[in-house]
Amino acid sequence: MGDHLKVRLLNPLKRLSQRNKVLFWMLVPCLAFIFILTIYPTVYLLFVSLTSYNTMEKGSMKFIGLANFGTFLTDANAWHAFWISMKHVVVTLSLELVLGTLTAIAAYKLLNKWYSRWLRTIVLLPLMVPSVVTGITWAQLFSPTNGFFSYLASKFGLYSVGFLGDASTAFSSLVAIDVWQWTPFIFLMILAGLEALPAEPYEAASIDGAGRTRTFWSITIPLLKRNFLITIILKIIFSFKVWAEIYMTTRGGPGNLTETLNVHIFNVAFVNNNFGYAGALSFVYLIILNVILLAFFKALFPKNAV
Amino acid sequence: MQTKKWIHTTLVLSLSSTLALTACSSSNNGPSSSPGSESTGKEGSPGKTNEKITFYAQYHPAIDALKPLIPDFEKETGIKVELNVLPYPQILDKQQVALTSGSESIDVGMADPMYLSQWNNGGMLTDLSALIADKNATNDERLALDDFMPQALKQMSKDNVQYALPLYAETTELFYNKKMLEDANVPVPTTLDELMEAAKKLHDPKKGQFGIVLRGQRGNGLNIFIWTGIYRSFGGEFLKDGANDFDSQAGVAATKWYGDILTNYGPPGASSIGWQEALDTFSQGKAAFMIDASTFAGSLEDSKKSAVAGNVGYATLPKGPNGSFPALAAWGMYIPKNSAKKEAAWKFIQWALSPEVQLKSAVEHSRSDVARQSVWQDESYRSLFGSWGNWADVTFDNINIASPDYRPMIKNWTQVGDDLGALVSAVTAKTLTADAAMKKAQEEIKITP
Repeated sequence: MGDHLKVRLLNPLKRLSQRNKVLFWMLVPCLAFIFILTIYPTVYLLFVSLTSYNTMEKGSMKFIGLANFGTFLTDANAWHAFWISMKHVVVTLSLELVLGTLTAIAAYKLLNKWYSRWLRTIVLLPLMVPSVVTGITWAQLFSPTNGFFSYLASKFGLYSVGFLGDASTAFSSLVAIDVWQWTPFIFLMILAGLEALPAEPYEAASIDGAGRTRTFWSITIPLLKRNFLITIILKIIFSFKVWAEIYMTTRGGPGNLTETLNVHIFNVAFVNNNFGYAGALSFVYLIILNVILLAFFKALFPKNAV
Repeated sequence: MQTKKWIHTTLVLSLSSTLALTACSSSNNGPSSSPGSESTGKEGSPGKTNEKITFYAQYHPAIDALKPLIPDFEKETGIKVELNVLPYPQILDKQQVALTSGSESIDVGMADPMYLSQWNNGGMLTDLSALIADKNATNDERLALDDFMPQALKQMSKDNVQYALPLYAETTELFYNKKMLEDANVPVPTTLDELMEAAKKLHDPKKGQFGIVLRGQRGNGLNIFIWTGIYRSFGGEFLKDGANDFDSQAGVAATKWYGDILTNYGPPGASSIGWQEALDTFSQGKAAFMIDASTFAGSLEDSKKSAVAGNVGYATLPKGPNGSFPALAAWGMYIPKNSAKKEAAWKFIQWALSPEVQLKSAVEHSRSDVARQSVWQDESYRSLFGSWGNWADVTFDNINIASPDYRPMIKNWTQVGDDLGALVSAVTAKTLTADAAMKKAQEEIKITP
């Protein structure tokens, strides 16, 4: 690097105060990480999505403009996968929000009991299981011949429940796995919010003679709004990434009934070796995720607050 | 405020661009400078050298059995072998990346013919035929080319170019629960129709007994690995006059048979059954029949793992209108074109695959997948399977009648197989009829020969 460039790059630093300079250099490692792990891959992804890159063909990285994005518009399989993804996000998130909030409130009420710590630890356990292990374990539990649930079903005279392998139950079985794994997350976030609630509004409410239900809907829920929003944002991000739980259990089947967009992208990239198109699909996925999150961020940080 | 923000932004931007510059330059320098020095200039010096070859191997019983013998080779030749073992499918990914990037990091690799033929088409493999013909490089006695299982050997060649040599070979066969068949007085089926009838008779889900278990989960190595045998025995072909032929009568009939037998006489939720699930179901004595890999006999006859040890019968795949089509799944060893140590690599392959080493490793580790005919005929090897009923005879015969192009040698097999797999799994889950599924396959799947 020439001296000239160095001076130009480092010049603005001179204008910073001594404290800010220190802060700046402390930020450098972090910025470097963000660049290497986020910005560079994203730019590379965009670049690959504009090519016909196929890992099995030498010299296939040719620039083809927006052709991959055009393919996506007419690709019924990709749209179907996108629809499954959305369905999976909405269904799991709604169930988990209700169950997670209810368990959090229950745990909050039991705060002073001697067993409350134990109870919390037990509730949080599924969150700590790696998703590959979750997938393998639940595939065993749902096994139609040796699984626990088919054994249970047979005790009730049901001999033909296929769980992950039946068209009618495959999706719900995946939802059940997700609810098992992620309800504890909602529980944790909401419980933290509950514990941080100020006491004054409740005192005021009881003086005004508000009942329990009224207090819950008019005070607890509004006060927890930001907790809910953050929880929902994080869970949507996690949901968009769900892969191992599906790949380890149904692989997207039967047919393509449980093939979410990221499972589809995985297949396009690593089975069909079509990295160019997979890049385009990932990019679209990224944009969709960001648009959805933007709406939630707007609610979380209203204009006058920034 | 505004200007301060500006400074921040420019700072971040300039910082990231400098990082981009350094990142690029380091990645350009990296690979070219380091490895070249040690890999050149040592060829042709026989005897004790410090030559070292790198062998990328699959995590597999055949490699477990070979590993303890490698010091013998190192003592004999002075060539060090660096063994890198990776499980499937990472072993394939690793090699694919190394081969397509033109790296010199692999001297001997191993893969199945589906990948080998793709890599060979890409000009990434060394032509072993030339080495075989070279009398200075090859010890004919040790190589014993005629002693390889002929079908497996053929599967690894194309247009008279041998691009790999088989290390192990397995096939598919019909497994049956002897006791169930005897109790119900059902003879061993020899045709697909008879198998359907027999499965129907023996299907009793209330007793926890299913007529048959087959791989139903989607995937080119899952349901399609077994479905292909049925497709072929109905007369189906992957490439007919250069185009696919899935919606032919054979394709529809085979898919219908597969869907019917699984949905009517198989476990519920058949579309979620992978090979592990199938093996578990059969070894727990919950299924009368199974069509799957010959090497499963090892688990089935192990009384610690299996409830049916000693109670399993083996038979050739039942015939369809076009005969019997057992699978041929073999993995071979090859030399990448970019290896700088081809001579040493070839010495190692000859040694590792020699009848002598294969027999020793097979007997010591009870391997059930040897690709050498002489080993199968050897008494000490046969005696390993004394308690496995007729398994050895059936398997040896099956490998010899198996078609080398059981699965077609096309460029995009994994894609074709996976797309077919999704459609066949829709049939076994009854969301598509066989007819509709094969029409869709015909329209949507494009085979790249």
